[in-house]
Amino acid sequence: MTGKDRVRSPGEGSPSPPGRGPTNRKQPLSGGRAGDQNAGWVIVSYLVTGMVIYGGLGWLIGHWIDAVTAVTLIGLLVGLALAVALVIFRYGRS
Amino acid sequence: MSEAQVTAVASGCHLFSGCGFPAPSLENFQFKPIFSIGGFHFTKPMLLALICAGIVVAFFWAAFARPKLVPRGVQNVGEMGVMFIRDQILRPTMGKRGDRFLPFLVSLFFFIWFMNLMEVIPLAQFPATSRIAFPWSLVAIVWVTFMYLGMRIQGPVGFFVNLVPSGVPWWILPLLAPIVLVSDIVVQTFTLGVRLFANMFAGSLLIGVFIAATWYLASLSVGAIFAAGSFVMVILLTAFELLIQFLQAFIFTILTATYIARSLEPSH
Repeated sequence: MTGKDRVRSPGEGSPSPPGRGPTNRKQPLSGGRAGDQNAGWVIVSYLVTGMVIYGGLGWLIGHWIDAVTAVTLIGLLVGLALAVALVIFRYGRS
Repeated sequence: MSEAQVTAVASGCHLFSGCGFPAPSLENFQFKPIFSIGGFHFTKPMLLALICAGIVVAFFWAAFARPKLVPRGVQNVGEMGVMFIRDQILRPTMGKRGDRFLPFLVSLFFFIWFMNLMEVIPLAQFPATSRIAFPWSLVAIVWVTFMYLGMRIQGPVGFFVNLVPSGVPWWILPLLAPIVLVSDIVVQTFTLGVRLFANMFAGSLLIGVFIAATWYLASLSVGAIFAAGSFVMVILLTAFELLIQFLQAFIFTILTATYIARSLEPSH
């Protein structure tokens, strides 16, 4: 379909020149939709981060008290649980 | 090709000829400098990145230097590209108020896509994004952009406070806050770069394996059948890589738009 054959919808126009896009201050940004689209990546990121932070903390404490394996495992589980709680707070109550 | 593979090809290394399979390795991603200035070495990936940047600039310059009300030719293609980014990436994530970021997102998408496409262009045959420095550089730009916007619009403290979901009990907040802060500021941008790099690196390595296998298995014996099968895999994987190249550019851009949207308006 060439340019002259393409039917434009009423609200559609040529793209705005750079830096002068149309603005509509009454229309809020779709921050909520942005979060929903990103939800999968955010959830995975929370799970990984939780386990890394608290697993790492557990590893450090385990080194200190000479029980690395057990405390690291506890830290990983605590991090996982906190990450799941965070996911519930963020997405589970909408 | 690496030094080992060049030697293997030159010496007629095939199956049953007594030599091992010249598998692609990290050497395939190392290049001798085209020229050096002191300690700075200008290599093929840098040249490809510069060429891709030039192509993006030249294409959109040709498309929009003299825009017509009824687009034709290059302007038509350019408008399709811009409107794809606007309607599929920008508007769903940021709405109409995010239109000022359209030039940034359009540039980002097409730059990444063209660099990815270099993997299948003859003579180039190397995606610049499979060298992690290039994704990292783009991630650095994205990170600075959304951090600056977030702190400017929400305030330096408000930006970090708004990252934490609302409704979290006060007693668990100190435990959850580190996860949110590290995740939203470090991990998500880290994975943004690694995702692009790993996909391009793996795809390039995979196609290299089957290309090398096609040559290695080529013989007048039963190996010819396997060589033909390997060649078919090269064709199929190249087609698959074309999809992945576009998809990775799209994912990078849409996640960038999402991070910018989160900086402009906190999501609770």
